Amino acid sequence: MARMKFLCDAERCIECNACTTVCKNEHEVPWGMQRRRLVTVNDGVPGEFSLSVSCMHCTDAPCIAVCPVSCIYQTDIGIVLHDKDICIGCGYCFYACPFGAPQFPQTSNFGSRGKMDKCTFCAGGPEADGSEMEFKKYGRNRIAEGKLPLCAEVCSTRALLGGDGDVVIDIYKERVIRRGYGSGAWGWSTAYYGPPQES
Amino acid sequence: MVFWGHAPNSHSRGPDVKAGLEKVDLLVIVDLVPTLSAALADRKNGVYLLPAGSTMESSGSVTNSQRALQWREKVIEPLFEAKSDYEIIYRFARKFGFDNELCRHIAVENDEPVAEDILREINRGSWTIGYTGQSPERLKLHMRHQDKFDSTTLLGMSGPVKGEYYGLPWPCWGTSKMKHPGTRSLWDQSLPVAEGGLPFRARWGVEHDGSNLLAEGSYPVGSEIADGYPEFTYAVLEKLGWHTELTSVERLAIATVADGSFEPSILTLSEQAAHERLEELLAGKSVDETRSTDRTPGPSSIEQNDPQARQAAKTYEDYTPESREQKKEPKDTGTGKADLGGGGEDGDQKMSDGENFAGKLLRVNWKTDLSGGIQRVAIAHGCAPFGNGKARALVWNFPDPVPVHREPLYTPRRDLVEKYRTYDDRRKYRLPTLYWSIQQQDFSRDYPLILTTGRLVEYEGGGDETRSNMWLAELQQEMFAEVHPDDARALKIADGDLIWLHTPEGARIKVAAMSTRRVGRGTVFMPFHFGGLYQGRDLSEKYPQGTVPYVVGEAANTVMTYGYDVVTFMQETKGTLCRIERA
Repeated sequence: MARMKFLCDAERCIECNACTTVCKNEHEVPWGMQRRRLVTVNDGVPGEFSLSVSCMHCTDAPCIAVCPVSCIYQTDIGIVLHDKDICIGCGYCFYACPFGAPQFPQTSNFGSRGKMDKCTFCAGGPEADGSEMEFKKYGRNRIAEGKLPLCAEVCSTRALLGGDGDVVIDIYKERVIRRGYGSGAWGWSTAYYGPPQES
Repeated sequence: MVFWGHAPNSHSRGPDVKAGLEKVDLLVIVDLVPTLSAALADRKNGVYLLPAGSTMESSGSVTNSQRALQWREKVIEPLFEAKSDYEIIYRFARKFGFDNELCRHIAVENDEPVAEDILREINRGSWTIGYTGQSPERLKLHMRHQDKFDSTTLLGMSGPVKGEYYGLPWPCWGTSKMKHPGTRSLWDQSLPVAEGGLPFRARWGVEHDGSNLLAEGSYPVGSEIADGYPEFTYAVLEKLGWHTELTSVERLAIATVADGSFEPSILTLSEQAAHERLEELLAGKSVDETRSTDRTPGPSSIEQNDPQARQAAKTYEDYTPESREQKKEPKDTGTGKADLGGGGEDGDQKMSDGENFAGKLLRVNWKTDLSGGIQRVAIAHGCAPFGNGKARALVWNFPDPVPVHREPLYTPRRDLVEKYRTYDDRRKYRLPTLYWSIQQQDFSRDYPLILTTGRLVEYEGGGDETRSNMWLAELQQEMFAEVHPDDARALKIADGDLIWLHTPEGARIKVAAMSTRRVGRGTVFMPFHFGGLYQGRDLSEKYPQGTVPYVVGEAANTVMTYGYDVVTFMQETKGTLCRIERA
């Protein structure tokens, strides 16, 4: 069975923010929360590069391991989802995540956290597929509609790839062979173990 | 003054812009959002906001910067009080009493001109750039068959769009009936003109100071003239003997363009009817007047059909006496007749009333022939309607025929001023323009840093629309000035500190400092998309209720200074001096 993965090729990312903007629009993510965001490293100096970061839907997801109420789970195609009805907003997952993916709305003036929110690989949550409640809590469920994550779909340079991990890595391998070097797939080995390509 | 989809913070010299907005009798703003135009001026009367629908609220063609067109369908009716741009302009025309003239060839439904007809009207007249073949029907066909285009070459690979480039990028020559595929890359000589190839345009006549301006030995694949040639006129066609290939409708159109009696209905006549009307028209002219049109191609013309570009050039010269006169004009001295880059529209002179019909007929050309016949016949012979000339690197009618460096008016490099001095103050048309009287003053002691402006990816133009979009506004929430860390340190400014930024003409703005190596030492950069703050004052309360953009900030152009391009009068927004201090 296919295993869903993200790959962001920093060699190609042009920092256009299409992925972050379309994510907010598709899922109506409120101001101040970012399921996907752009990070620019070495800004303004030689060696500058940018990459698009979100939940990577890790193989051994540390968020699942640390969640005290076991609200986070992984689907049969590797997508890490969570149940907002169970989440207590403790923030453990945020500390465990190597990508800073979990986001928390501020619910009171005393800084207490609301229910965790993060990238769902456009796969919604435990509610019925395509239901109003699912959209309200987790955003649109494109996977149930047979579609891939919108962030990767709109990427004009195809820096961000999202889909069947085997296909994704094949595309990336071909790129590496063509350009002759492999740097770029930031976060891949952290999320999925193993190098993004065998060199 | 009418602002229609335009931002006042795109203009330099903010205090002068503000004063101007306060002085005009009437200020009308047509836009999706009120824009800074509504808030900047300190006035309450004579300001009208006309809400316009977005691109989702009307249909029509839209052209991108790669020259391709797409057809856009209306998604929703204009929301609230908004109306489409078409309806707004139509209602203006009706109020002013020229709606019938404006929409003579355009159907109007419920006070809204029909989008398809608007494009057809553009098609009818835009011969010079080949914006004529992209009929609404062809564009809609492309939209329906998007899947059949190669995403790399943009070429239609199958079905009814096979062989056409996606969106028919202009030039898409001739009428839509000609089915020109559009031009994907300009000046590609490896393709025939009929398949999107082109040489360089013979734009500046055929000769200058004794030098041949036509191409030599260079031409697109399939050209029957294996050399340079001038722009196509009826005279050129006739000399080449190709004028006999024009249909009667095309000949009638050309003849009526020449004598000023053209009507669009001519284009829908039958060949027989057109032939009869042409005979009638020519019979009304004196023998002398019609001499050249009666001539059928004799052996001598056919001989000239041989690739004889020089001959064609000669012909061209013979029939355009005014073009020769124009070339004899002295070079631009800055005081004479201004010629903004055109450099002599050969063959495009106004038809003088004194000239006889034959002369006018010969000068009908690929730009003025409203039937597209001259373009069609030229392309049928593998030739570009606009001729085949050389690129021009010496622009003899510009003040600097070859670009030379000239120091900006406000420069910290006083040592370069002497060697790379700007122009003397000038006057073009009614407009005096200052150069040396500014540059000769040294502002660099009080304003030691170079200031430039540019774009952010999140916002567009003046930013009123994009800063009113929640998703985009969240990504850039504060106006800033990029300052090199060394400069910041010297001025005791930390990253994120609020600073006052002053420029030599007295304006100042309050922005956040961003200490970054994106800029070089001695240079400050600001994005130009912000508005809603003016020299430290928050204008939010001046927007109509509920229309303040999510993000407001100082407009960079408030502090950008005087300076105008010597040919186009384009404002200088990229180079001045500034001083910064912690606020």
